[in-house]
Amino acid sequence: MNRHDYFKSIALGACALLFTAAFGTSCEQPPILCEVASGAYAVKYFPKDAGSDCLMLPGERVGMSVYNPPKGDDREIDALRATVAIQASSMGVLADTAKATASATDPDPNHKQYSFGNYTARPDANDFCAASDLSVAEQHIPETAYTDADGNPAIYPETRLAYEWRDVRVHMAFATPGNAATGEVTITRESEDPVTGDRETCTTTYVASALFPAVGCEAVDAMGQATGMPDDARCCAKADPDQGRPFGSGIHPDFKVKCDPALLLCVLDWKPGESFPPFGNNSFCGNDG
Amino acid sequence: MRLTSRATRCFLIGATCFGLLVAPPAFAAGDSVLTGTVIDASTQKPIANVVVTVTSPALQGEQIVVTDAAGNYRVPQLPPGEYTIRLDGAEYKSFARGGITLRTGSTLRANLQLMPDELREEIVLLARPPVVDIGSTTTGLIVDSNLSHRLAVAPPGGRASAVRSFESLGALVPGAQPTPIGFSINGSSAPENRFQIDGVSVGNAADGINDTPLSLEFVREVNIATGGYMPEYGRTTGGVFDVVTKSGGNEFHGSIFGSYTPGAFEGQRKPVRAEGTVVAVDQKLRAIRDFGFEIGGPIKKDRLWFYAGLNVALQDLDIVRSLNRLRYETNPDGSLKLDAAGNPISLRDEYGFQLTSPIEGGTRRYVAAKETLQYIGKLTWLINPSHSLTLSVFGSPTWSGGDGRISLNGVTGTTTTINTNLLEGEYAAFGRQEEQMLNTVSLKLSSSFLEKRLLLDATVGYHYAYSNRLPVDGVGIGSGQGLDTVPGISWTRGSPHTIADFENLPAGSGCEPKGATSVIYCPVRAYLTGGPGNVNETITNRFQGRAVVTYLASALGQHVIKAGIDVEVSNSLFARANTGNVWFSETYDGSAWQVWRIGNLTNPDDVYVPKLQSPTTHSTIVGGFVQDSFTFLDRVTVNAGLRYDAQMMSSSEGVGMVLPNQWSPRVGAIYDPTGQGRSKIFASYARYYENVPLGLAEGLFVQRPFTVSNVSKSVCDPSDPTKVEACLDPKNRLTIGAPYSPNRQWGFYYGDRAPVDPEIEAQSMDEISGGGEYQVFDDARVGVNYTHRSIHRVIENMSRDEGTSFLVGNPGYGAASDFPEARRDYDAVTLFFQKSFSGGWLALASYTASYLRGNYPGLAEGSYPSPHTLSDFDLLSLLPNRTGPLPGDRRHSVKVYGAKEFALPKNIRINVGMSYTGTSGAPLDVLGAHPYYGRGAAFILPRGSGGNLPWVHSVDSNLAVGYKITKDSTLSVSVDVFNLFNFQAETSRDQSFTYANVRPIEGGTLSDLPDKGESACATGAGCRYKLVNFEDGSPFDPANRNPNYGSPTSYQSPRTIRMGVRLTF
Repeated sequence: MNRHDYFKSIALGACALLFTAAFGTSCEQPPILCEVASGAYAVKYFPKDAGSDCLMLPGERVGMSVYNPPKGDDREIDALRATVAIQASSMGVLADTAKATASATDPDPNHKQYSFGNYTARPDANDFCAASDLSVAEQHIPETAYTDADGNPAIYPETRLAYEWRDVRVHMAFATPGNAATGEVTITRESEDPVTGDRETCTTTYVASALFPAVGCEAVDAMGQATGMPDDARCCAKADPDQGRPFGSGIHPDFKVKCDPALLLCVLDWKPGESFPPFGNNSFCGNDG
Repeated sequence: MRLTSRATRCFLIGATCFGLLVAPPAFAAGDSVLTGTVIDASTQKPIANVVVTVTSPALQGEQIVVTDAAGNYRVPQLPPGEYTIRLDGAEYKSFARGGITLRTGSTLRANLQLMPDELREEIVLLARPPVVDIGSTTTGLIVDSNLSHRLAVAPPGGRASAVRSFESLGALVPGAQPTPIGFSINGSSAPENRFQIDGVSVGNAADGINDTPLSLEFVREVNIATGGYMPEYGRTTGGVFDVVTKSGGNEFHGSIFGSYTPGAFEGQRKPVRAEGTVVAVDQKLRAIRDFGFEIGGPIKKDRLWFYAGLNVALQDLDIVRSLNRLRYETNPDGSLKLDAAGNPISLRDEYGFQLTSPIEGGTRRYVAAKETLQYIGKLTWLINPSHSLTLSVFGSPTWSGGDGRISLNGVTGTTTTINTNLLEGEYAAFGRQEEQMLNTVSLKLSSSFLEKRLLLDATVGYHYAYSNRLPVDGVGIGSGQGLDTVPGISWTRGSPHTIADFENLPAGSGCEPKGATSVIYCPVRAYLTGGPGNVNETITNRFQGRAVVTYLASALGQHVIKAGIDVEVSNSLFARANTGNVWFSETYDGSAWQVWRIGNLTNPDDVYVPKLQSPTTHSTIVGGFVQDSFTFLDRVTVNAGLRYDAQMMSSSEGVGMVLPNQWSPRVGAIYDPTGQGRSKIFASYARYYENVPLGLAEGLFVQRPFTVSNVSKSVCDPSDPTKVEACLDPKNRLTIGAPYSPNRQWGFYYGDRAPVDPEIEAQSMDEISGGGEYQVFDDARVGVNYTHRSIHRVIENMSRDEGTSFLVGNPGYGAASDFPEARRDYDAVTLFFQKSFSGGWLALASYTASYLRGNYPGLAEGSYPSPHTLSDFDLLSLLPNRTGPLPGDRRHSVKVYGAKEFALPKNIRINVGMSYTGTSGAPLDVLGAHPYYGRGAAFILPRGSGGNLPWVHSVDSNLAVGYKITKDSTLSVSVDVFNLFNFQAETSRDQSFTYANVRPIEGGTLSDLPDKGESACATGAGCRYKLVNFEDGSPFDPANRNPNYGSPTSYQSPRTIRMGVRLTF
């Protein structure tokens, strides 16, 4: 056992003795640690400058992952030092498709599919955990010749995709730990127009809201066929078997959510400028939220 | 421990105040009291200044007090034993009264009369020894360990039965019911009990069950308190087992003992129907034996005594591992019958169980073995008549498995821990060597001042618990030697292997040959090869210190005022690793290996694997109490007290929980109509708080990450030591992460940390009890009492979003307001008769009628401890139908014990003891499956709707023949027969109505379910039964009913016979 911790135990015990003498005035619970969700967030993009959106991206799935170094004697995790990585689904899809189609990869080892930076250990006074010093995620696939499925020679066009995340803050409260996040991202895409062959570059800055888990909410008709329309009720937290919802969505009941018609994923019912995260009841879920 | 400045500020604020700390007093060896009034036999008036001298073989020297103006005397801090009181008064005849039995922790009132010197009339002195403890409202039983020589206790096969643990005496107590992990006392679960040996708490800090099964041979008395106890006892919502070990005396005494329970004498077991499998396991008791000695005596008479003892206990089971071939339906011509999809159809019995044929010559035999060595050493030092010091050291190291043997679960130690899946593999892979080291040190000081009007009792203790699960060659974790370097491999592809892939089968087995891919006759789905894989080590420390001050005052009667403080600091380290630092399992499609590493991600796709992963958890508890026991009119005692506790718990990852404000009032009143300590009527109210075990922090305040990557079989072959490197080469890792995951080559798993609701309050329980006792004749009393217990608040982990995120809180309060409150209500009435051994016989009889209901079983889930992590409150969708009679509900419980001694000529004594216990059966539930939580997780009907198990009866007998060799030494031979008539009552049944996912029928009854063989409803409209499928609400198809529903899954333990020999000197 670590001697250091033993003495800390005794020290805490001594403090505790003195604390008890104060007729048991209630002490608050120790603060929680900053974490992120272990799967994909449903992220909705709002163009930062209205009218300046060449990418026309409504949103996508984005994953985050937190890393901790080992502690001094390396048997335990140092949970108070953390780094974080953010990866957008588009980036992984680009890399996977290029590899699968043309065995093409980004030759620069410094280009990563994820943004990487520091993460605070404990939430601030407003219950937010901030990521800082985030690197740029980038994949630059060079023009690559390959043989397609029919045996014909083909060219994989030069493609570049870059994500620059900033001001990423994850909401971390004891009730909703890490299930909502917000931030800003500048996405740059360089690709070849498939018709003209011209190279085009498009950069847009979005304000993003993220919600975990990413739940599909496409409406389903009586026959069980998907309709392509959004169904808000599928985002409700509480199960309602009589309404055809044997499970809750897995989204926390405290969040205001809606089904985004473009993504057909449940997203936070929020627009830039409003208070984040949006708490409240969802009227379409009945009185249970 | 990292508490932020906010919490530290709280502590500093507290530090400015004066510290009168009140804490629960530890209960220690010399805590009994003899008290009473001395009156003049002729005038019936109290006499002052009478010298009262108290002596006993259990007491060092003698204790002397003087009666006060009201004729009262009080001798405190006495160890349990047989006492003699001698009175000497000026102008009175000296008087001595012997044979007064003082129990541990009791106050006995002996009112005595003196005859004046000059009196000539003969006055008959009425002074029968009293047996009623008129100082307390505590219910329960105080048991002398010598009872185990007259009655059959500690049945073999029970918890820690090889060492004949003191805990087995719980069976005698009204209101106590046996469970696999201990006794459930008055409706509370077994881990809620508190265990103290010589004043030191020896419960397992992680889960609350008893850590130190000290042999009855070393124990003097056990005080099992089931309720109504004063603030001195705290931090438990169950019962208290307070153990006093033996001490030396002025003469050398001791014993040499041994016992033997042969498996050959075990009664015929009723077999339980179960699914046929390729690898089948059968177990039978081979033998349980123990032998040892204990001795105590003076190092310096009346000054320094010693006591020491050693006990070796061995437990062996015979394990038979057989191989079988699965059977399928065949056509008349012998070809396989195929179903609509072209698959063969398993041949099943009427209960749905697969049938098999044995493979001749495919049997292997193993022995499952466990050895325990218990020791105790004690020194009692009377510094001077006012101060005494006791040091005791005891422990119970245990070893199991290794060397070709199979290990037995350390803590439960029961004979039913071997299951089929365990032996599907090579010995080096499934076998383990397990070790436990449990050691305790206790130092107690008893001091008195101001002529015994001011007392101080202080105890300091340390309890150390270590356990491990190591490879069978015993090498340490991270040692880099032997099996510690060999990775474990689990062959888990979806299309099962044939067992011939791993073992040489005898000819004519009928199994598919090695390399077969379409296997139906001899499939194994998770065969283990290579090394053991997961190994672990746990270290737990508990440091305890407490002090109690007692002051006697007189004001309108007598006051015994106590105040005490108590601190406990405990921590636990749980280390785990994989042998070879990696573990392999086949992917489902069999094309690749999953490479598992115990470690965490330090950067994207970068895993750090330590030699050991070992987070630590800590808990600090501080408490204190104040109480007054006020006696007036010689008949009425009022006890009032208040206790305060605060607990702080945290983990090495910087997360924690604070539970202050545990105010626990206790009030009781006792009225003795006879005024002579021969009767009492009492009532009490108490609130108890629960001590949260470290297991909550281990489960919810640490992550235990492990990571997995996939490597193709074309480059990786883990069973070839030269090829393992290729399995770990980053170049060979396949991409398995989703496009949105920064980790494309590594998946990771860990238990999520659960944050704590800021409004959380400690778990507590309220109790009201009352009753009466009356001493009917010498040493015998009869009584009745009523107990009511209600859980007040419970700490549990819950999720409001279908398992996405969990939090720790009180169901029904604060952030968890949309969960129902936890309820557990218990009412019981007990009638009892007790006669301690005198005049050649003893008897103990009780009948308890009780009713336990609610939605919260306690700190255990079935036979496993589960501190505050039950699945009962996990999801809102799991909640329906959880309220009803709880699994521990036993409406009727009859316990009758009796023993008689016959003195024969030539110094031969025969003791015959008989016991009968009859308990009504547990309630049964009707369960279905839940899509996330699996089988048995959904309550189709309200709890307890499935009826009850039948009564369980047991008749046990003891026959002992003793030959008195000299005045002080006796040789005796005994035979204990447990379950004399080999009753084989059902003790559990299959409660899963179906394994399909179904919706609970809220408030439903058995008539809402389809009958066996009933035809399916096409639609819900007009359907007779109400059971529907989970997903879409369509009517349940009765063909999916579990054919084994309602069948017994276990029976009562069969008859066992224990033979013993003892030489007492």
